[in-house]
Amino acid sequence: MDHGQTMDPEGIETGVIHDLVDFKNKEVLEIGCGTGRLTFRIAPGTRSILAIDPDEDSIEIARERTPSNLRSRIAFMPTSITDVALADNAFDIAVLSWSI
Amino acid sequence: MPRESVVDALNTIHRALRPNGILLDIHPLDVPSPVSALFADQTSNPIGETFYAGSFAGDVEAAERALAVQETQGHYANEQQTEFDFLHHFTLDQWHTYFAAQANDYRPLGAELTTAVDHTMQTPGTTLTMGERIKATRYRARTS
Repeated sequence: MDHGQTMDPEGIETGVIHDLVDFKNKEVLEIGCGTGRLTFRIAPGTRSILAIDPDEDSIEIARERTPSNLRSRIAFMPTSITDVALADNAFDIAVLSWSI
Repeated sequence: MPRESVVDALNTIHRALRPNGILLDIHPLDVPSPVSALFADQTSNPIGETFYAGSFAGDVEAAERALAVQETQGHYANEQQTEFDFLHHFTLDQWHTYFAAQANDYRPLGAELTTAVDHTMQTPGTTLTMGERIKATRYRARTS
């Protein structure tokens, strides 16, 4: 959880995730995106990301922090996975980021 | 996430994924998180540990059980799993803010650790690090 501390400046998490999954040109659903810390590390190279989190304040911060070069491919939505309406067979990858 | 919602969530994700899509699950493990002082010269000194609260550990365990059931039911196949250390770097103010906000997720900090933190952070240029042990698992969605 983001409370101003610096998280994973060594980039270990990013390296592990990209070793496990190839995000290139994929349509991604991220559940529990918080303020977008992981979203911004995943987004480069993806086709698109729908990033959701039930905390509206976190989503607002994520929107404000979104780098300009990623704005066209990331959509942040303040909702939970149990409330959101998703089309069937819509995503190549789903990321549960610290959220279950 | 409430425990009763985990199964619903996993079913929703399964429907939203294309056949053979990937579910990447990242969550902390219920093990102590070591705390160290990181000095300006980049040397470090271990000063204690933090521990998750029982309710948080229970949520993680319930989620793992739900994922295991989904595997058994053939919705997902566990393809690859790894563990790593995720480091938080804190100033003293950030440390206090974090544990005030996350009080429900952790056991109260011990007096010994609190004393060590206050003593250590009197040295200019020192930061605190806390390493959480994380498990990352790649599942493949199966059509059932």
